[in-house]
Amino acid sequence: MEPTPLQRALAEAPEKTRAQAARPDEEFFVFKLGAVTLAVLSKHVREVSRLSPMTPLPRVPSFVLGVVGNRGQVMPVIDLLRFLQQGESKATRGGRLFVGESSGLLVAFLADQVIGLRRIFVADKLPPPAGGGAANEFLVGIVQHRELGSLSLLDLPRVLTAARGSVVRR
Amino acid sequence: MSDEVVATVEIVLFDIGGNRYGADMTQVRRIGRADEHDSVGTPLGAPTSGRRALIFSPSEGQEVCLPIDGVLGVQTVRLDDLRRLPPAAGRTPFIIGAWLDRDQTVLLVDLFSTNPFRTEAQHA
Repeated sequence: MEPTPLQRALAEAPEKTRAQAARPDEEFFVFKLGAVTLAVLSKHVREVSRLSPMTPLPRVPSFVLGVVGNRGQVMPVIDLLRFLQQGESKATRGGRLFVGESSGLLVAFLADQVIGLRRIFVADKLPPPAGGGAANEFLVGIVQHRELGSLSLLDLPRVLTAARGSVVRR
Repeated sequence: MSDEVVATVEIVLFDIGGNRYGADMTQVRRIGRADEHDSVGTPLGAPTSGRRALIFSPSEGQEVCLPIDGVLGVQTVRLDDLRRLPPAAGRTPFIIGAWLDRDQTVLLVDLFSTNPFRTEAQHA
């Protein structure tokens, strides 16, 4: 006897609901600096701390604001806005420092406000906009985030390497 | 009671433009007036007030000065609290490290390396 349409359909039906195809995502550390919202892969962020007294360094590029002592270690503080040639940060009372880490390099970065960790789908990343200037070199992409609006995703290891190179060359 | 001997070094603390720096006490011959000596210039920035200077002698018979705003005192510092600067903080030759004074980082200066009149022998 020919199976009925229902029997045919049931013969191919799964026994349980299929899992949705996995959408790969990455965890980013999100912070505000001036008018921009930036994000870096959280694996490159070691810690966040209050803004501690900074000691200016002579003869360094203007994006190096100085050095701070952090857990017994001296580390330079970088203003990302100056580094990316997007203006300059103001060290405010509510400001924070986050410690970025890559290949053994530890550097503190100024942040006006720390937003926190967010998971971002890899497929949602868009290429940096054309004509973004020098900053584009250090962006891995941008994301239109439902909650936070436009996020610029920063390649922190590249920033660290370039900043170090720029300081050492002087 | 512990018999542990803590190694220390004496540094002279001074102020230039509102920033605190330290130098090895043994390098400082005396504190004087900036306008009475050859000056190494203002490698750490110009003093904002006062005409004081650290006078040091990088070689026999030579006296030069580093203009400063004022001397803040002499501090005995534990060697445990001294740090080298990380490479990303630059390679300014006369900044030889830092002293972690609680939450404040004090840059340590090698006075002799600020001297633009150094001889080849001193460079070596």
